[in-house]
Amino acid sequence: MEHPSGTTLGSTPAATTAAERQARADWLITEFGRLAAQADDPRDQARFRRTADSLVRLAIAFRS
Amino acid sequence: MTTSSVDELLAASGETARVLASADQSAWNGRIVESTGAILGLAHWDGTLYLDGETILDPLRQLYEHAGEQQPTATLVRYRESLATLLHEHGHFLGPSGSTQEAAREAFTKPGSRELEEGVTEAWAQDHLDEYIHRLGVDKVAPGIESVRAGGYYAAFVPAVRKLTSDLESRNDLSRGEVIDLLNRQTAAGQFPLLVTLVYNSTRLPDLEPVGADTRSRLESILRAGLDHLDAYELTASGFAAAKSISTADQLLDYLNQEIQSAESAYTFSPLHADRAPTQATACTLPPPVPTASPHEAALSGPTPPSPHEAALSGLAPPSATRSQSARLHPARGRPVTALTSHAHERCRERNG
Repeated sequence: MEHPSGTTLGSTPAATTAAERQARADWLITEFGRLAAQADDPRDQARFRRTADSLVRLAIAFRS
Repeated sequence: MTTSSVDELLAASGETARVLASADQSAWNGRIVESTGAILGLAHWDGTLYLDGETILDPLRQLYEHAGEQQPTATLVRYRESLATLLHEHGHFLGPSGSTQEAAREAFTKPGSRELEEGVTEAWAQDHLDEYIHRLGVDKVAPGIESVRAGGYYAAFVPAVRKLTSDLESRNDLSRGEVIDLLNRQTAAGQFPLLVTLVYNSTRLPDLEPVGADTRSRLESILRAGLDHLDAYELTASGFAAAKSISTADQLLDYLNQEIQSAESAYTFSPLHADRAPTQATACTLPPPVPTASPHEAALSGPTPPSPHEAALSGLAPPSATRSQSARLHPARGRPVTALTSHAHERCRERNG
Protein backbone atom coordinates (compact mmCIF):
# COMPACT_ATOMS: atom_id res chain seq x y z
CA MET A 1 0.00 0.00 0.00
CA GLU A 2 2.85 2.30 -0.75
CA HIS A 3 1.93 5.63 -2.16
CA PRO A 4 3.03 5.66 -5.79
CA SER A 5 4.28 9.24 -5.69
CA GLY A 6 6.48 8.54 -2.71
CA THR A 7 5.10 11.63 -1.02
CA THR A 8 6.29 11.92 2.54
CA LEU A 9 3.56 12.90 4.90
CA GLY A 10 4.62 15.34 7.54
CA SER A 11 7.65 16.51 5.65
CA THR A 12 8.39 20.18 5.43
CA PRO A 13 5.34 21.76 3.84
CA ALA A 14 7.43 23.91 1.57
CA ALA A 15 9.27 20.84 0.34
CA THR A 16 6.06 19.01 -0.52
CA THR A 17 4.80 20.21 -3.84
CA ALA A 18 1.17 20.76 -4.62
CA ALA A 19 1.41 18.03 -7.25
CA GLU A 20 2.67 15.55 -4.68
CA ARG A 21 -0.05 16.50 -2.25
CA GLN A 22 -2.65 16.16 -4.96
CA ALA A 23 -1.33 12.75 -5.96
CA ARG A 24 -1.39 11.67 -2.34
CA ALA A 25 -4.98 12.85 -1.91
CA ASP A 26 -6.00 10.87 -4.99
CA TRP A 27 -4.28 7.79 -3.65
CA LEU A 28 -5.89 8.13 -0.24
CA ILE A 29 -9.36 8.57 -1.74
CA THR A 30 -8.90 5.21 -3.41
CA GLU A 31 -7.59 3.66 -0.20
CA PHE A 32 -10.42 4.97 1.96
CA GLY A 33 -12.94 3.88 -0.63
CA ARG A 34 -11.49 0.40 -0.57
CA LEU A 35 -11.49 0.32 3.23
CA ALA A 36 -15.08 1.53 3.38
CA ALA A 37 -16.14 -1.18 0.96
CA GLN A 38 -14.40 -3.83 3.05
CA ALA A 39 -15.53 -2.61 6.47
CA ASP A 40 -18.16 -4.73 8.25
CA ASP A 41 -18.93 -2.17 10.92
CA PRO A 42 -21.24 0.56 9.59
CA ARG A 43 -19.54 3.05 11.84
CA ASP A 44 -16.16 2.24 10.28
CA GLN A 45 -17.74 2.52 6.85
CA ALA A 46 -19.01 5.97 7.72
CA ARG A 47 -15.66 6.97 9.18
CA PHE A 48 -13.78 5.97 6.04
CA ARG A 49 -16.36 7.61 3.78
CA ARG A 50 -16.29 10.86 5.73
CA THR A 51 -12.52 10.99 5.43
CA ALA A 52 -12.70 10.18 1.74
CA ASP A 53 -15.23 13.01 1.30
CA SER A 54 -12.79 15.43 2.86
CA LEU A 55 -10.07 14.27 0.50
CA VAL A 56 -12.43 14.52 -2.46
CA ARG A 57 -13.06 18.13 -1.47
CA LEU A 58 -9.30 18.64 -1.40
CA ALA A 59 -8.83 16.95 -4.74
CA ILE A 60 -11.52 19.16 -6.30
CA ALA A 61 -9.79 22.23 -4.84
CA PHE A 62 -6.51 21.16 -6.43
CA ARG A 63 -8.15 20.69 -9.81
CA SER A 64 -10.19 23.89 -9.84
CA MET B 1 -39.26 26.77 14.44
CA THR B 2 -40.87 23.43 13.78
CA THR B 3 -40.16 21.73 10.49
CA SER B 4 -42.87 19.37 9.30
CA SER B 5 -41.18 17.68 6.34
CA VAL B 6 -37.72 16.74 5.20
CA ASP B 7 -37.96 19.37 2.48
CA GLU B 8 -38.67 22.04 5.07
CA LEU B 9 -35.85 20.76 7.21
CA LEU B 10 -33.35 20.89 4.37
CA ALA B 11 -34.54 24.30 3.21
CA ALA B 12 -34.02 25.72 6.70
CA SER B 13 -30.82 23.80 7.41
CA GLY B 14 -28.38 26.30 5.92
CA GLU B 15 -29.70 29.51 7.44
CA THR B 16 -30.20 27.83 10.81
CA ALA B 17 -26.57 26.73 10.77
CA ARG B 18 -25.39 30.21 9.77
CA VAL B 19 -27.35 31.92 12.55
CA LEU B 20 -26.25 29.32 15.07
CA ALA B 21 -22.63 29.99 14.15
CA SER B 22 -23.13 33.77 14.06
CA ALA B 23 -21.43 33.73 10.68
CA ASP B 24 -21.88 36.58 8.23
CA GLN B 25 -22.61 34.41 5.24
CA SER B 26 -22.99 30.93 3.86
CA ALA B 27 -21.76 29.91 0.43
CA TRP B 28 -24.51 27.30 0.14
CA ASN B 29 -26.47 27.93 -3.05
CA GLY B 30 -29.57 26.15 -1.75
CA ARG B 31 -29.02 23.07 -3.91
CA ILE B 32 -28.83 19.57 -2.48
CA VAL B 33 -27.80 16.68 -4.68
CA GLU B 34 -28.76 13.22 -3.48
CA SER B 35 -25.72 11.10 -4.13
CA THR B 36 -25.74 7.38 -4.61
CA GLY B 37 -22.02 6.73 -4.88
CA ALA B 38 -19.22 6.84 -2.36
CA ILE B 39 -19.88 10.36 -1.09
CA LEU B 40 -21.56 10.62 2.29
CA GLY B 41 -21.58 14.38 2.62
CA LEU B 42 -19.72 17.01 0.64
CA ALA B 43 -19.80 20.80 0.66
CA HIS B 44 -18.77 21.41 -2.92
CA TRP B 45 -16.82 24.52 -3.77
CA ASP B 46 -19.56 25.58 -6.18
CA GLY B 47 -21.95 25.90 -3.23
CA THR B 48 -23.83 22.64 -3.80
CA LEU B 49 -24.40 20.25 -0.91
CA TYR B 50 -24.07 16.54 -1.72
CA LEU B 51 -25.73 14.11 0.69
CA ASP B 52 -25.90 10.34 0.44
CA GLY B 53 -29.43 9.08 -0.14
CA GLU B 54 -29.32 5.86 1.79
CA THR B 55 -27.23 6.95 4.78
CA ILE B 56 -28.17 10.61 5.26
CA LEU B 57 -31.42 11.49 3.51
CA ASP B 58 -33.40 8.28 4.01
CA PRO B 59 -33.12 8.43 7.82
CA LEU B 60 -34.33 12.04 7.68
CA ARG B 61 -37.29 11.00 5.54
CA GLN B 62 -38.06 8.23 7.99
CA LEU B 63 -37.84 10.75 10.81
CA TYR B 64 -40.75 12.75 9.37
CA GLU B 65 -42.71 9.67 8.32
CA HIS B 66 -42.76 8.67 11.99
CA ALA B 67 -43.10 12.16 13.43
CA GLY B 68 -43.85 12.20 17.14
CA GLU B 69 -43.41 8.46 17.57
CA GLN B 70 -41.09 6.88 20.09
CA GLN B 71 -38.17 5.26 18.30
CA PRO B 72 -35.54 2.79 19.49
CA THR B 73 -32.15 4.21 20.40
CA ALA B 74 -30.46 2.83 17.29
CA THR B 75 -32.94 4.69 15.09
CA LEU B 76 -32.50 7.91 17.03
CA VAL B 77 -28.72 7.57 16.70
CA ARG B 78 -29.12 7.18 12.94
CA TYR B 79 -31.22 10.35 12.80
CA ARG B 80 -28.67 12.14 14.88
CA GLU B 81 -25.79 11.02 12.65
CA SER B 82 -27.61 12.37 9.60
CA LEU B 83 -28.20 15.72 11.26
CA ALA B 84 -24.60 15.85 12.46
CA THR B 85 -23.39 15.37 8.90
CA LEU B 86 -25.82 18.02 7.68
CA LEU B 87 -24.55 20.54 10.24
CA HIS B 88 -20.92 19.64 9.59
CA GLU B 89 -21.27 20.19 5.86
CA HIS B 90 -23.04 23.50 6.35
CA GLY B 91 -20.16 24.51 8.60
CA HIS B 92 -17.85 24.27 5.60
CA PHE B 93 -19.89 26.89 3.74
CA LEU B 94 -19.63 29.55 6.46
CA GLY B 95 -17.48 32.62 6.19
CA PRO B 96 -17.16 36.30 6.97
CA SER B 97 -18.57 39.06 4.78
CA GLY B 98 -16.72 39.32 1.51
CA SER B 99 -15.13 35.91 1.70
CA THR B 100 -15.15 33.89 -1.49
CA GLN B 101 -15.12 30.20 -2.26
CA GLU B 102 -12.31 30.81 -4.74
CA ALA B 103 -10.00 32.10 -2.02
CA ALA B 104 -11.18 29.41 0.39
CA ARG B 105 -10.55 26.70 -2.18
CA GLU B 106 -7.04 27.89 -2.88
CA ALA B 107 -6.23 28.16 0.83
CA PHE B 108 -7.64 24.68 1.45
CA THR B 109 -4.85 23.15 -0.65
CA LYS B 110 -2.13 24.54 1.62
CA PRO B 111 -0.50 22.19 4.15
CA GLY B 112 -2.49 21.87 7.34
CA SER B 113 -5.56 23.70 6.05
CA ARG B 114 -7.73 20.64 5.48
CA GLU B 115 -6.84 19.19 8.87
CA LEU B 116 -7.61 22.47 10.62
CA GLU B 117 -10.90 23.08 8.82
CA GLU B 118 -12.17 19.53 9.26
CA GLY B 119 -11.16 19.52 12.92
CA VAL B 120 -12.80 22.86 13.60
CA THR B 121 -15.96 22.08 11.65
CA GLU B 122 -16.42 18.69 13.29
CA ALA B 123 -15.68 19.97 16.80
CA TRP B 124 -18.07 22.86 16.34
CA ALA B 125 -20.79 20.61 14.89
CA GLN B 126 -20.45 18.18 17.80
CA ASP B 127 -20.67 21.01 20.31
CA HIS B 128 -23.72 22.63 18.72
CA LEU B 129 -25.71 19.68 17.44
CA ASP B 130 -28.27 19.71 20.27
CA GLU B 131 -28.97 23.38 19.73
CA TYR B 132 -29.22 22.85 15.96
CA ILE B 133 -31.72 20.04 16.50
CA HIS B 134 -33.70 22.22 18.86
CA ARG B 135 -33.76 25.23 16.53
CA LEU B 136 -34.99 23.07 13.66
CA GLY B 137 -37.68 21.61 15.90
CA VAL B 138 -36.47 18.09 15.32
CA ASP B 139 -36.61 17.35 19.04
CA LYS B 140 -40.40 17.60 18.76
CA VAL B 141 -40.52 15.35 15.69
CA ALA B 142 -38.19 12.73 17.12
CA PRO B 143 -38.70 12.62 20.89
CA GLY B 144 -35.58 11.55 22.72
CA ILE B 145 -33.12 12.47 19.97
CA GLU B 146 -31.30 14.83 22.33
CA SER B 147 -30.74 12.11 24.88
CA VAL B 148 -28.82 9.75 22.60
CA ARG B 149 -25.23 10.22 21.55
CA ALA B 150 -23.42 9.39 18.36
CA GLY B 151 -19.65 9.40 18.26
CA GLY B 152 -18.01 12.02 16.13
CA TYR B 153 -15.60 11.69 13.24
CA TYR B 154 -12.13 12.92 12.31
CA ALA B 155 -10.47 11.46 15.40
CA ALA B 156 -7.08 12.37 13.97
CA PHE B 157 -7.98 16.06 13.81
CA VAL B 158 -10.57 16.95 16.45
CA PRO B 159 -8.56 16.23 19.63
CA ALA B 160 -5.60 18.23 18.33
CA VAL B 161 -7.82 21.13 17.34
CA ARG B 162 -9.50 21.08 20.74
CA LYS B 163 -6.13 20.99 22.50
CA LEU B 164 -4.70 23.80 20.39
CA THR B 165 -7.76 26.05 20.63
CA SER B 166 -8.08 25.41 24.35
CA ASP B 167 -4.49 26.53 24.81
CA LEU B 168 -5.18 29.67 22.77
CA GLU B 169 -8.24 30.41 24.86
CA SER B 170 -6.11 30.25 28.00
CA ARG B 171 -3.40 32.44 26.46
CA ASN B 172 -5.89 35.05 25.31
CA ASP B 173 -8.26 34.91 28.27
CA LEU B 174 -11.12 33.77 26.08
CA SER B 175 -14.03 31.62 27.13
CA ARG B 176 -14.19 27.87 26.50
CA GLY B 177 -15.03 27.06 22.90
CA GLU B 178 -14.65 30.63 21.75
CA VAL B 179 -11.69 29.99 19.45
CA ILE B 180 -13.47 27.11 17.73
CA ASP B 181 -16.47 29.39 17.24
CA LEU B 182 -14.26 32.12 15.78
CA LEU B 183 -12.45 29.72 13.46
CA ASN B 184 -15.71 28.14 12.36
CA ARG B 185 -16.91 31.51 11.05
CA GLN B 186 -13.90 31.71 8.77
CA THR B 187 -13.25 30.02 5.49
CA ALA B 188 -9.94 28.23 4.97
CA ALA B 189 -8.55 31.54 3.74
CA GLY B 190 -9.08 33.17 7.12
CA GLN B 191 -8.47 30.34 9.54
CA PHE B 192 -4.68 30.26 9.56
CA PRO B 193 -4.27 34.06 9.70
CA LEU B 194 -6.64 34.09 12.67
CA LEU B 195 -4.82 31.23 14.35
CA VAL B 196 -1.44 32.92 13.92
CA THR B 197 -2.83 36.22 15.22
CA LEU B 198 -4.22 34.51 18.31
CA VAL B 199 -0.83 32.96 19.00
CA TYR B 200 1.18 36.10 18.22
CA ASN B 201 -1.02 38.51 20.17
CA SER B 202 -0.86 36.31 23.24
CA THR B 203 2.87 37.04 23.50
CA ARG B 204 4.95 40.12 24.25
CA LEU B 205 6.12 40.20 20.64
CA PRO B 206 3.66 42.84 19.36
CA ASP B 207 5.34 45.27 21.79
CA LEU B 208 8.87 44.00 21.26
CA GLU B 209 9.22 43.38 17.57
CA PRO B 210 9.60 45.91 14.80
CA VAL B 211 6.99 45.91 12.08
CA GLY B 212 7.88 43.41 9.40
CA ALA B 213 9.54 40.83 11.64
CA ASP B 214 9.09 37.34 10.29
CA THR B 215 8.02 35.67 13.52
CA ARG B 216 4.43 35.35 12.36
CA SER B 217 5.46 33.40 9.29
CA ARG B 218 7.55 31.06 11.44
CA LEU B 219 4.63 30.52 13.78
CA GLU B 220 2.45 29.74 10.77
CA SER B 221 5.03 27.25 9.49
CA ILE B 222 5.01 25.46 12.84
CA LEU B 223 1.21 25.37 12.94
CA ARG B 224 0.95 24.14 9.37
CA ALA B 225 3.60 21.47 9.80
CA GLY B 226 2.02 20.18 12.99
CA LEU B 227 -1.50 20.05 11.62
CA ASP B 228 -0.35 18.62 8.30
CA HIS B 229 1.30 15.81 10.23
CA LEU B 230 -2.05 14.70 11.65
CA ASP B 231 -3.21 13.00 8.49
CA ALA B 232 -0.63 10.29 9.19
CA TYR B 233 -3.25 8.97 11.63
CA GLU B 234 -6.34 9.15 9.44
CA LEU B 235 -5.97 5.54 8.42
CA THR B 236 -5.58 4.29 11.97
CA ALA B 237 -8.23 3.19 14.46
CA SER B 238 -10.10 6.04 16.15
CA GLY B 239 -8.67 5.51 19.63
CA PHE B 240 -5.11 5.40 18.37
CA ALA B 241 -5.70 8.37 16.08
CA ALA B 242 -7.14 10.43 18.94
CA ALA B 243 -4.19 9.65 21.21
CA LYS B 244 -1.70 10.58 18.51
CA SER B 245 -3.70 13.68 17.69
CA ILE B 246 -3.30 14.87 21.28
CA SER B 247 0.40 14.02 21.47
CA THR B 248 0.99 15.82 18.18
CA ALA B 249 -0.81 18.88 19.52
CA ASP B 250 1.31 18.76 22.67
CA GLN B 251 4.42 18.71 20.57
CA LEU B 252 3.11 21.48 18.35
CA LEU B 253 2.47 23.64 21.41
CA ASP B 254 5.99 22.92 22.65
CA TYR B 255 7.37 24.08 19.32
CA LEU B 256 5.26 27.22 19.43
CA ASN B 257 6.36 27.99 22.97
CA GLN B 258 9.98 27.53 22.02
CA GLU B 259 9.66 29.77 19.01
CA ILE B 260 7.94 32.44 21.08
CA GLN B 261 10.56 32.16 23.79
CA SER B 262 13.29 32.40 21.17
CA ALA B 263 11.81 35.45 19.55
CA GLU B 264 11.09 37.21 22.84
CA SER B 265 14.52 36.54 24.27
CA ALA B 266 16.12 37.96 21.15
CA TYR B 267 14.61 41.33 22.09
CA THR B 268 15.20 41.08 25.80
CA PHE B 269 18.78 39.84 25.66
CA SER B 270 20.74 41.75 28.31
CA PRO B 271 23.32 44.17 26.83
CA LEU B 272 25.29 44.03 30.13
CA HIS B 273 26.23 40.48 29.27
CA ALA B 274 26.26 40.84 25.54
CA ASP B 275 29.17 43.28 25.50
CA ARG B 276 31.43 41.06 27.62
CA ALA B 277 33.44 39.15 25.12
CA PRO B 278 34.32 35.99 27.10
CA THR B 279 30.79 35.54 28.36
CA GLN B 280 29.48 36.37 24.96
CA ALA B 281 31.60 33.70 23.37
CA THR B 282 30.28 31.15 25.83
CA ALA B 283 26.73 32.32 25.61
CA CYS B 284 26.81 32.27 21.84
CA THR B 285 27.79 28.65 21.75
CA LEU B 286 24.85 26.39 21.37
CA PRO B 287 25.10 23.18 23.33
CA PRO B 288 25.51 20.05 21.30
CA PRO B 289 22.23 18.59 20.18
CA VAL B 290 20.86 15.81 22.30
CA PRO B 291 19.88 12.80 20.23
CA THR B 292 16.15 12.54 20.48
CA ALA B 293 13.48 10.81 18.54
CA SER B 294 12.08 12.84 15.71
CA PRO B 295 8.61 14.24 16.28
CA HIS B 296 7.17 11.52 14.12
CA GLU B 297 9.14 8.79 15.84
CA ALA B 298 8.11 10.18 19.19
CA ALA B 299 4.52 10.34 18.06
CA LEU B 300 4.65 6.74 17.00
CA SER B 301 6.34 5.50 20.13
CA GLY B 302 4.43 3.92 22.97
CA PRO B 303 2.92 0.63 23.88
CA THR B 304 0.56 0.39 20.93
CA PRO B 305 2.17 -1.23 17.93
CA PRO B 306 1.55 0.38 14.57
CA SER B 307 -1.35 -0.96 12.58
CA PRO B 308 -0.80 -2.33 9.08
CA HIS B 309 -2.04 0.95 7.70
CA GLU B 310 0.27 2.92 9.88
CA ALA B 311 3.12 0.64 8.97
CA ALA B 312 2.32 1.32 5.36
CA LEU B 313 2.69 5.01 6.09
CA SER B 314 5.93 4.56 8.00
CA GLY B 315 9.12 6.20 6.96
CA LEU B 316 7.42 9.52 6.91
CA ALA B 317 9.56 12.48 7.71
CA PRO B 318 9.08 14.73 10.74
CA PRO B 319 7.00 17.86 10.27
CA SER B 320 9.64 20.38 9.45
CA ALA B 321 13.27 21.12 9.22
CA THR B 322 12.96 24.87 8.89
CA ARG B 323 15.28 27.25 10.61
CA SER B 324 12.88 27.83 13.43
CA GLN B 325 12.51 24.15 14.09
CA SER B 326 16.16 23.27 13.76
CA ALA B 327 16.71 25.05 17.06
CA ARG B 328 14.13 22.90 18.80
CA LEU B 329 16.19 19.92 19.66
CA HIS B 330 15.57 20.49 23.34
CA PRO B 331 11.95 20.66 24.36
CA ALA B 332 11.53 23.85 26.38
CA ARG B 333 8.49 23.16 28.47
CA GLY B 334 9.39 22.42 32.05
CA ARG B 335 13.10 22.98 31.52
CA PRO B 336 15.30 26.01 32.10
CA VAL B 337 16.43 27.48 28.85
CA THR B 338 20.19 27.26 28.71
CA ALA B 339 20.71 27.64 25.00
CA LEU B 340 20.66 30.89 23.16
CA THR B 341 17.79 31.34 20.81
CA SER B 342 18.35 31.25 17.10
CA HIS B 343 17.79 35.01 17.00
CA ALA B 344 20.23 35.75 19.74
CA HIS B 345 22.68 33.36 18.19
CA GLU B 346 22.52 35.25 14.93
CA ARG B 347 23.03 38.50 16.78
CA CYS B 348 26.06 37.06 18.48
CA ARG B 349 27.44 35.96 15.17
CA GLU B 350 27.00 39.46 13.84
CA ARG B 351 28.79 40.91 16.82
CA ASN B 352 31.58 38.38 16.63
CA GLY B 353 32.03 38.97 12.96
